[in-house]
Amino acid sequence: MNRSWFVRIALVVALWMGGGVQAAPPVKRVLLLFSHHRLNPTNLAVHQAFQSRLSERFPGQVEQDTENIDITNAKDPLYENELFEFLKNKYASRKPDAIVAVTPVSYKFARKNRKEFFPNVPLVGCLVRPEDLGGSADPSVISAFTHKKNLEAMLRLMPRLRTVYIVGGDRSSIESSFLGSIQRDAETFKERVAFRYLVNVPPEELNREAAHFPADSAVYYYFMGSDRNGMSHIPRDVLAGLARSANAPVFSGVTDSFMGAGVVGGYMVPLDDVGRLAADIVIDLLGDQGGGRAPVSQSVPSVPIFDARQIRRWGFSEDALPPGSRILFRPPSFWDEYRAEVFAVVFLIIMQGGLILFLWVELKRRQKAEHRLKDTQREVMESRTALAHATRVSTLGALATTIAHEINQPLSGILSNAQAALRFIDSGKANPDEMRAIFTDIVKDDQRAAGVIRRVRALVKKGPPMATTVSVNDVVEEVLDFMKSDLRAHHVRPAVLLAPGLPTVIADPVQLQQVFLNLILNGIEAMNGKTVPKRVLTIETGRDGSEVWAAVRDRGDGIATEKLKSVFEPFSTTKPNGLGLGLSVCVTIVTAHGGRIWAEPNLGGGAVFHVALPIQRRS
Amino acid sequence: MNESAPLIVVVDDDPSVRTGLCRLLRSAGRRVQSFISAEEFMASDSLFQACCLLLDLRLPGLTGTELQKELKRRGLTTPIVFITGHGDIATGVQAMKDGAVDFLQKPIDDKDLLLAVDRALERDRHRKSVDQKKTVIQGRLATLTPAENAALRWMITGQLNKQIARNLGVKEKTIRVHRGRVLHKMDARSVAELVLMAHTVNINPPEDPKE
Repeated sequence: MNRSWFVRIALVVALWMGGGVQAAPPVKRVLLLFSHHRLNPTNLAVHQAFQSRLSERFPGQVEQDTENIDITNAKDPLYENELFEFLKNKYASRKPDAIVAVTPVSYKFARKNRKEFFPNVPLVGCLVRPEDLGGSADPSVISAFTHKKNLEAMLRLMPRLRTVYIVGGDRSSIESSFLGSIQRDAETFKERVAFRYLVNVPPEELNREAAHFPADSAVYYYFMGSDRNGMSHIPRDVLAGLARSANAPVFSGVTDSFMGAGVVGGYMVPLDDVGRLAADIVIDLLGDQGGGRAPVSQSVPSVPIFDARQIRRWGFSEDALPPGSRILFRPPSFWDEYRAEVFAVVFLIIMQGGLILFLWVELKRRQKAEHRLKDTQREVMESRTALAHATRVSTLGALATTIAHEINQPLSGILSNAQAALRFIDSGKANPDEMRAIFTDIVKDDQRAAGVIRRVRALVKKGPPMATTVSVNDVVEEVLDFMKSDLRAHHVRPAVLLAPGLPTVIADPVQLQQVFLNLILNGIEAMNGKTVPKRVLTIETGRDGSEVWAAVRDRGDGIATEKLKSVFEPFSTTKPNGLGLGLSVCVTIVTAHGGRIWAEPNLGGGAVFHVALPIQRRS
Repeated sequence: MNESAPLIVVVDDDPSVRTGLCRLLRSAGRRVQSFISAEEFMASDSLFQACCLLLDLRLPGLTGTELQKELKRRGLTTPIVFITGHGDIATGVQAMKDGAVDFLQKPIDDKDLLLAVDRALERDRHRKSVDQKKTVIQGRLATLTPAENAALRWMITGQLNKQIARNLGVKEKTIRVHRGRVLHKMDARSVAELVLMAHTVNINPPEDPKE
């Protein structure tokens, strides 16, 4: 089983490898003959289009040789013969499968020598005119050049055109044939414009003259390969210099290799098409993969091509261009050129805007929140005040009996004294000393009752808390005085140990009274179940560092250690009918005064409630 | 001030109330003494001379009701008028049940005060006259022989001589003699008067062996 598998795999591999070797196609060769200088833009454009098309079709399977025969400038027949011999020798051992001759000059050279050179090798003319073929059946790329259409286009663009300068050479056959056909075409327009010919003029001279052309003139450049001094030039460079110097727009025809050299434009043969079609013909010639199509000549017409920058420079209207014009070098619109940047900037602006919006919204929200916080703080303050007031009133409710008693006592004294006075008077025993003593007591009792009422009213009074300079000792004494009958009713003996000369604090005296009222009431209540001798409530004050403290110490049952904190929480109460707000209000009040309140177990039973308040700073 | 007039004692710690009451009572011609606490009053001679006590319910230290109990324990029956503040009514009612003459709520009107004081003084006078009668009766009782005493105890039950003689195991004639002597020694005109006297000094009839 294993073995048979191995054999099968080995067989497949061997067959595949053998097949691969068999499938490798033979290498083809193409020889390209260029008439001009190696770097001539026409050569380059055609060659590039040709090569890219060919390698698209036969990647890496076609070998290309190029020769720049350069016979345009060397008209010596001897040179031509030697060149022929050289090429013959050079390619003896590497015979091309096809020859592509670019421009009429090289085509003529190849055709003249083909019988001796490479008989039976197909020849493809490229960028040749119909008349160059001379009846030959060579499959070629035929280009038609037109000057008439160019002149028409110039007139359409420049309705006020008066003078046309024809610039070019006549030292090669093509140049002279171009010049001839231009002169013929000019005849058609001679009524409208004057034609001036600048032929074979060296570039420097040409450029100098071009700088001073009269108004309403234009230049038509066909091409110049060499000047009258025999100096050869790259025609495109001549055009570029002319276009730079001329004070009039320069038009041209021939091939689109002139585009971008400062020329406005004109009807031109697109060299890309020429190279590509030449490659197609070669592909058909090389056969194998070509599908066996019989290669035929292709013609490439001149098409109107214009330079958008020049159109704008000379203020021409695009509407006046020939229909179907290709417009090159259209300056990329801001959008085309900076699309990414625009996106980035827009994105940034949006982000920034969003951020600003976010921050603004956030600011508004914060302001709103601050307002709400202030409102809440005010509400908290108000409700704290209201709560303090409510608990004070309820504390007073608990003290109602005491208060009634406190008022009843002097009232009782007043009544007795007054009735005694009446009786003394009625019985005729009224003596002035007695009467004086009676009335003195009545006044004293009245003041005493008024004092009680004043204190009650102070506690009941509803108002915003006020901050004044307060002596803690005074507050404690006031509260003790107020509560003395309550203390007595519960048989609680107050032990008061007030430290003399305590510094003052900043406080609301009524609220502070409320704190001690609550603490003392709690202390009294805590000792309710204790025997009378044990009912001692100690109230101490003192100073510790930057604080004045007061302690209310009872001898009740005390508070469980774990409850020492929770007794200050609202609604935590040990009393059957207590609300459990007293101590929590104490916390609120003391905290609002910047102080502390806490409970501790009392040594020897009971609890101690401490209040510490910050000492008023001397300003 | 008439030294023989009955002494009224005011105990109140509050100076306004205390001086006011004292002054009012004096203006009505009463003899008054005041104390600021129960303890101070008990330490004074007035404890035994007071004919009426005006007591504040709320007193520091010993309270009014506690003083009432303490006096009772010592056998002192001085009539007490309690002075209560507002809301002490329950305590006042309890004090009344425990024998107080009255309780007055402050502020006290002079008429109410004098009425209550007079009633207390009246009770004191009555109490003192009862005490006097007791002394007389007990003096007469002391002149009786044990046999006459035994006969008296049966006489106040209303039994006939024959029944008493049977109960005591003596002759009916003997009892007839005892009856005559008892009525004479006790200065009683009838058995009914004798029963009243016995009641005054808490002499109870003997247990009826038949019952």
